[in-house]
Amino acid sequence: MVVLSIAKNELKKYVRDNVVTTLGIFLLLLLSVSVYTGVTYYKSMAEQHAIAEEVARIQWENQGEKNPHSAAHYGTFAFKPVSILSVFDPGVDKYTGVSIFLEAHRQNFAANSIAEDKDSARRFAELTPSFIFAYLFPLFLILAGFRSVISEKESGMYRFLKSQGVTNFQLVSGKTLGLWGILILLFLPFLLIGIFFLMLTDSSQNDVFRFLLTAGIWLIYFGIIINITIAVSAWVKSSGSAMILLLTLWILSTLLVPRLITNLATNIYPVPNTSDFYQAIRTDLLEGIDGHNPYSEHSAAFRDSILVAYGVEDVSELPFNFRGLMLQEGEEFEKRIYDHHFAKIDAIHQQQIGLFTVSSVLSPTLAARLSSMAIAGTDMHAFNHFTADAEEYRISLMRELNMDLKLNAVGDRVVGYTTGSDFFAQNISFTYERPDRVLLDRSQLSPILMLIFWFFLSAVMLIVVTKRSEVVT
Amino acid sequence: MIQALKLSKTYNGSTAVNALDLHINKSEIYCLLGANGAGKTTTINLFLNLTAPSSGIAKIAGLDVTTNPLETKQKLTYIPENLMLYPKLTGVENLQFFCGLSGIKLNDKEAEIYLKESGLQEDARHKRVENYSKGMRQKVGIALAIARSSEVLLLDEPTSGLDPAASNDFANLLTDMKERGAAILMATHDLFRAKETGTRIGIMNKGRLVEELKAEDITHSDLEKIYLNHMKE
Repeated sequence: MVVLSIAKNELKKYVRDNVVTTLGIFLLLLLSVSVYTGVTYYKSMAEQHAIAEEVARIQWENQGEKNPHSAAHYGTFAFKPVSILSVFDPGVDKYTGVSIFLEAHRQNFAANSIAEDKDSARRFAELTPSFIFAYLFPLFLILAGFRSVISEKESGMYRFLKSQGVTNFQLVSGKTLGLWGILILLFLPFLLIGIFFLMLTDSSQNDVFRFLLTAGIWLIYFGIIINITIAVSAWVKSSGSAMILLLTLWILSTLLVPRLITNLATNIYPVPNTSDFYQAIRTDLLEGIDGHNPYSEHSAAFRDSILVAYGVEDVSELPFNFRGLMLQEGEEFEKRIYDHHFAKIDAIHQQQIGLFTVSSVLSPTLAARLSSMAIAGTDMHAFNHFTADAEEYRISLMRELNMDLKLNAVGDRVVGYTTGSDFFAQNISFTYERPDRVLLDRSQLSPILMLIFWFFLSAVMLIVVTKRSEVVT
Repeated sequence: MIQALKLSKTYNGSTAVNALDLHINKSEIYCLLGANGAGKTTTINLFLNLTAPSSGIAKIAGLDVTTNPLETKQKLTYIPENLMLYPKLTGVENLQFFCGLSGIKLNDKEAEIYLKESGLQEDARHKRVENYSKGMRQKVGIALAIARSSEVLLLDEPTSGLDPAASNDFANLLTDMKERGAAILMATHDLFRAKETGTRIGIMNKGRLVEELKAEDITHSDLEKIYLNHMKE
């Protein structure tokens, strides 16, 4: 009852405070703009994705009479659909590339990232709901709440409240709830607009569930900021000190630590440059069969093993086209080499993400951003899931093409054999399906656990500060 | 109602209150006079349990304040020198809030009645407290005491800084509270107001209660002489 009275009173004070209301309205405006630009971005990307996917398929099906292996080199594209939740948290989506060129013998990196089309100024601070939640909401909570408890001591109100029988625990709990109140006033419109938007679009239940979980992640993060803000306000001797201390913590958590860790991660776990990466692959490819070169040592060995297996003297006596088989064998060997090298890159990314996760013990902002991206399906895990799917598709498509050669080309030559639109139209097509599971990997759970750890740590901090200042002198 | 039994408080070896014996009855205004640092505010803090006694007992309505902090606080209203209400709230809202802390729910009308009884002008009751004078804020404090039916009032230099008219208004309110049966302990520098309003007057010097007088037995000039003599000690 007392706690609720204090909380209600606190909320009334916030609502009547011109600075708090002005900042709150400003935040709501920013949030509205960010959601609007997010929706515009999503719609435009979804439209572009649909067109690009359709055009790529039409091009594939209408490449005319062609040798299947020429078609394999002609290639096609896999396009990553934009997640509807990228409206709220685009994560790394804009930096990872939206398409992968799929061709014979070669696994390519994703290309055409959105960020490539943008100037550096926009890259510096993209206005998204997740940016506002990670950086501006904490700043707002700090500016609104840093005086919360200390101002009562400075004004003499603290003694008056104590004389009314109010305990420190009641005072601090009321102040904490009051700050939650003003936060909810700002966050609730976002939550309602988000659900409304998802219901209006063709989003799945899974998307709505993910959205609510993401909202939960941000609420835990705000809870941490509120706990720390009130704890500092109850602990320090003046509002000036409270503000300086809280702003220092904000700068550390939101600006310095993430940038420091980014630098550390890229220095400790450097990703090789593209030229070195492909050179290493080229070197390894020399150690196996090359589908294009029947005269190489490995090709000859493979040919001999097949001749022995079929009990024939020459490839022309085989019941299929040997060159088709060799191309497929080469493709599978190349895939193993590419998989090995891409796995190395992936391992480096995992190490970098691991460093980020461990470092979130220094910054709840890091933990919140990683958690939000993971649940929104816009993190590196989600991207890797897409690239793995695209690669599976590439291999399946190459197999279809090589099998056509193997079974239908006459003799032991591939040159001269062609196939037409009917065949290409029957080839499997690629449509990426996001997994139903909210999290793809156990390591995605770590930042969420770290965030929960931060929440409990901040709550304990608040309780300890409250108890220590309860002592009667 | 207000009782101190050999009450002492020592801070870092220096004695702020020294073996204070005090007994204030219902319908009595006890004015505690003394120079700065005489121990008046510490005495009030001891009754409020804002500071723990080094020895002795402070009682409100027969209850030890250290063992019954919540019960004793429910029986009293404390009005400090500068009653800092919440500036963004109106007088009515402040009263509702502070009554709410004691579990008393007031609607606007009830709050207005109490504020009227405390003498706060009608047009000020729904204005934000940030525009109130000190006298007006003290009246909200008295309204709180009335609304809470406080048996005990602890006042720490409540008239300091008030103009004579406001000070007189406040004294009348205290007299009214006394007639309602409240026991009032008022720490003050104001000899004139102590003589005019008080039932009894105590003089403190260096933490000791050095003199107790009945207000009706002395004149203003006698009080001044006695007070000054003690201050020379």
